[in-house]
Amino acid sequence: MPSSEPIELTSLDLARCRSWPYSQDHCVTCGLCASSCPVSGVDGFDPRKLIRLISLGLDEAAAESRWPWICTLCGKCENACPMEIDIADAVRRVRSLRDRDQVPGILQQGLEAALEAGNNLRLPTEDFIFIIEDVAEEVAEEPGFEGFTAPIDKKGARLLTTIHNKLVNTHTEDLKHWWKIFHAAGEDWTISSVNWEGTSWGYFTGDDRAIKTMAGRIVEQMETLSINTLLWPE
Amino acid sequence: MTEKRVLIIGGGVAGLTTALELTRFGIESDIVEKSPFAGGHGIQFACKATDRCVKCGACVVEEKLRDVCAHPGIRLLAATEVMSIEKKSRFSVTLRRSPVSIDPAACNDCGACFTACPEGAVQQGFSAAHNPFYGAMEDRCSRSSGGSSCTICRDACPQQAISFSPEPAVEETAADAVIAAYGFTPFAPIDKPYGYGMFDDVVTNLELERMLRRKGLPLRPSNNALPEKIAFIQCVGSRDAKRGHLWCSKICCGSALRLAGLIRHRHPQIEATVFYIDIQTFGKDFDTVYPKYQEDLRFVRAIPADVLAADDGGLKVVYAADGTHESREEEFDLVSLSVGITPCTGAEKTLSALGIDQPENGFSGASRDPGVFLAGAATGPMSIAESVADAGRAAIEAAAYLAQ
Amino acid sequence: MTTVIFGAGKTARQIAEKAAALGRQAILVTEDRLESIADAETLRSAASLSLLTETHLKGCNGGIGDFTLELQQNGGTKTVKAARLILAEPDRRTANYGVYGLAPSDAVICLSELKARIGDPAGFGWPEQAPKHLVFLHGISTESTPAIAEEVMTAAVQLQEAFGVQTYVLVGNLKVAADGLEALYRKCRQAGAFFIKFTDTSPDLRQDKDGTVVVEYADEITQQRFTIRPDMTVVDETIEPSEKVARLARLLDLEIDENGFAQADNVHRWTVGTNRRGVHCVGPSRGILSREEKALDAANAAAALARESGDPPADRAVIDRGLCIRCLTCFRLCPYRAIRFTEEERVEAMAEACERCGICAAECPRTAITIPGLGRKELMPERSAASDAPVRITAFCCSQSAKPAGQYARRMGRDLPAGLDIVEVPCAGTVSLPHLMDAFARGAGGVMVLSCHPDNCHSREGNMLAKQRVELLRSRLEEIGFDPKRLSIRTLASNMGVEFGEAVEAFEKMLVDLA
Repeated sequence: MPSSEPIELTSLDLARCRSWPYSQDHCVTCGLCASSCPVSGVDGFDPRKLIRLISLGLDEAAAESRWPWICTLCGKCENACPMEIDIADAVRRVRSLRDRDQVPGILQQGLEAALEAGNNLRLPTEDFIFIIEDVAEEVAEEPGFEGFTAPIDKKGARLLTTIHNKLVNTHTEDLKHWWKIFHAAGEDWTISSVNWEGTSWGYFTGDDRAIKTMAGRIVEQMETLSINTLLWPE
Repeated sequence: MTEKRVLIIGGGVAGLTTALELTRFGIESDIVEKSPFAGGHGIQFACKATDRCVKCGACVVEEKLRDVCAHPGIRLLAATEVMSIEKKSRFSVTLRRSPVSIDPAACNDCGACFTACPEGAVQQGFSAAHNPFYGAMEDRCSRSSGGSSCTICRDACPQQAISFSPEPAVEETAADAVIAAYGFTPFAPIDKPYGYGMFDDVVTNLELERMLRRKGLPLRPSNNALPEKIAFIQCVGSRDAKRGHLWCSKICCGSALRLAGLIRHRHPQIEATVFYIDIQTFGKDFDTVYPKYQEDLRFVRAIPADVLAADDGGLKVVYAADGTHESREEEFDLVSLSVGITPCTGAEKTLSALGIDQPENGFSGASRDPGVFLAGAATGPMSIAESVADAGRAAIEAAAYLAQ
Repeated sequence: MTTVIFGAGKTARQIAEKAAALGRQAILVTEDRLESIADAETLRSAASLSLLTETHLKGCNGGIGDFTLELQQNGGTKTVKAARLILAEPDRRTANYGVYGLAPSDAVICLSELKARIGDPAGFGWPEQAPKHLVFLHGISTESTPAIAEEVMTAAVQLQEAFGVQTYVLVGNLKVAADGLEALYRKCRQAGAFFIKFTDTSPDLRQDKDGTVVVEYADEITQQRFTIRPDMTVVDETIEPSEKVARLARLLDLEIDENGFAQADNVHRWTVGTNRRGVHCVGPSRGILSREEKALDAANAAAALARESGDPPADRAVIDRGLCIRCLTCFRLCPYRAIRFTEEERVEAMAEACERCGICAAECPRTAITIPGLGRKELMPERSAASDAPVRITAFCCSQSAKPAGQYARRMGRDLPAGLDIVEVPCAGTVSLPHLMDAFARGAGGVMVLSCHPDNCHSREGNMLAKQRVELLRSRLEEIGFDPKRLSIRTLASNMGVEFGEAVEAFEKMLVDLA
């Protein structure tokens, strides 16, 4: 994008994406989204261009381009937009138009891993439990947290919390902050030993079905453990 | 010619003009103005003439106020509010006068009260026609808001011109018709990401107008120095469906370009940039003056997303650059936000007492009462010129009603 | 009291109706033929008005309350008396074919023509023969107006919704500064119209031999080049004053603005005022107005009729017949057309039309004109400056601008020069050469004239005449060895208190430095 050949506007179907529910036709091209976007200008991308392509019915051309993948889905554009256009959702829709084997980077692999193994890392349950218990022991060594344990699969707990895969991989220290707060607050909480993954990369690949599957599994786990409240720090 | 009397709510340009137009029909009126200074927003505006008049109309507001003050058939009640209004055979109205009153006959304009007030509640007038020239802003005065017994201003006055009433003074009056001309409320840009209220040098266009009127200079509030680069950000709170403002405020392009033109005329070294969506036509001579503004000012067709603090005390404006569309940070040292015209807040009680409909956009619609007429920006965004015209319409409609 | 309204369109009728409600009889005068006037019969049967068609204004004498119009109808002339005159001629549209370099053809039409087709689709074989793709060229390389923007967007909505036409609106600045236009803009996009905005680029338009247009442009947002091959292209229109307005304005001695509308672009003429008392200019005769502004104008014109003209004021210009040599300087310069040449070939000032600006008296080479209160012995400072002041300054201040600005400065607590004498004048145009010299003779070390800004003078160019006199006197003073810096002129507005203070303080400092 853009192509060097002129496009015949009269041969485009401008109504093509009109049924999309993102209000892209509200755009007055004020430029607030482009101004606000932290990656505006990267490879010529800015959110206004993407909305423009959708308005033109050029969703497929947009899907083929790198532009939708430059976006970090941070949502700042959407927050800035005075016309209430769901820009981030529109970007996700465009991402969903790509064949899954064309999804860039590790996103699709991670998502497939999560769908198959319950988490993006394909971390076996026993390894997961080992890491959790190991970190919990470290917490218990700190003054004021004597006897601390991280409850796993505790039936009837008040709160189930999901975990970002990063936190059982490279950022285990970050687990401790949450836990210490739970401990200090006297919270009755637990972690699930399966389907604990809070990260849903379907969000980034535009795969709403995958999001639904993963969310469904978490809900299932809540039902199994008879827990009514979910903390999904994502 | 007639005994009929009209109550005009709001002493802005629409209210003032309606009163003057009614005198053509021999109809007398009471103008009730909440603020101690009649003339609305317009009376605070600066003359933006360069080597010639740019037709902003600020002097017209001044002229209307002078004419109203000089007219024996018009009673101008500043620092007064409508407390209640009820339609019987006539409208019976209860007015509430400000609890702090300055006797214009005794006041000698020395400004001792202005200097003395610790709350900044005593303010200076914007026109020689403001009588008294000083007035207490009720929302800041601790006597009215906090119920304190502060007497600092009264004690400071060498003329004994200031008096307090223990309870707000109430006055009963009657009217045969009512003109609702309560104007608009400027959009408060606090929840916009432009640092308004956080950075001293981010001001609204109305504040910039006021500064030019009072000081004659476009100073940076942070250090009272002239800026080198000014940014004008358009459509702040207008053309903004998210806030329910699906309208153009009509006046901001004229305001920004005239302000920028005035500043550049007086201080050619100052650079001015206007960030906009569509430049709107203003004035009869737009086709002649717009090319001059295009030459004199820098125009960027994008609305900035952020104003951030720069290291040297300046402001970084973040916007999508033309052509490349990359988000760029550019330093300015004064930012003027062209804030939109939004429906008047605080008039709800009066509005319902007068049977005035409120359409979806929040401005005032028509009244169900045939004796109630609307004028000016209470009904939607209007320039000074349009408010003057609308006042003429309201006056003839009211006169026709009263002649029945 | 009769009012003559020029025009027979919507605005003219609205005024006539409202005038009737006030008990004023109106005569509608138009050059048009009866057949070309919409709904002429109801107009003719209305009791409160009469209609003169194919009637041309040939001359106008008199002033407010007593105008005499010379009209020509069917080769004959007739005289009509009127108390007030109102110009309410409709405007004229020019299709912008030339602006876009296109020639009208089956495939290129103007906005009015499009509206005609939408209004009578069957007559044009629509919807069968309606275009599939239609381009609007709107306000590119010219600046359009909300009135035209509203018509373009309304048409686009109708085309999209009723006829299934895909519309493309190519536009520079979209003018939405009128009631409801932002919402209409959204409605238009929701109906499927596609907007392409141009900032510093413009589309390439090529018209083929068969009259169709090919549009090429680079989209400013995506940077992508596009080609449009519409089967119909609609050019927008420019609103201009009708040629009747220019003619009538000339015959009625009205100031015109730079676009040719019969109301000077002067804020003091708002809303329907002209330079002549009793003559009003309304709606499309005074400028390019939005729909709501036009409606307001009719009401304002009717309201203006309500004011009774009382007895002529006593303090107006009087011309001494013995001194007058009929050079007609006053006749030429009076901005209000208050000077007339009588049947006895005398020059006379009409008190009811005179606004007492003083221009005639200041310019009369024979000093034959007197205006009570403005004579050489009468125009005196309102208070005597302190005798111990370092220098005495006489400032002639226009009552419309500098006078209130000075009051504002004083009230703000500004420490104005102790030697400042203010002489209030109704207009800077009052200040004659003798007035200026008298001020020096009375002992002023410096004299200032403080006038309104150009284009803001109530009396059109009283400020400019004052400037010419000051410049003339400065060069004379220099010739006789008197420092011309002691005489100064500058412009102010009534709200420029700070600038008033700065101006007189700087002048005082300069005079002290000179001494």
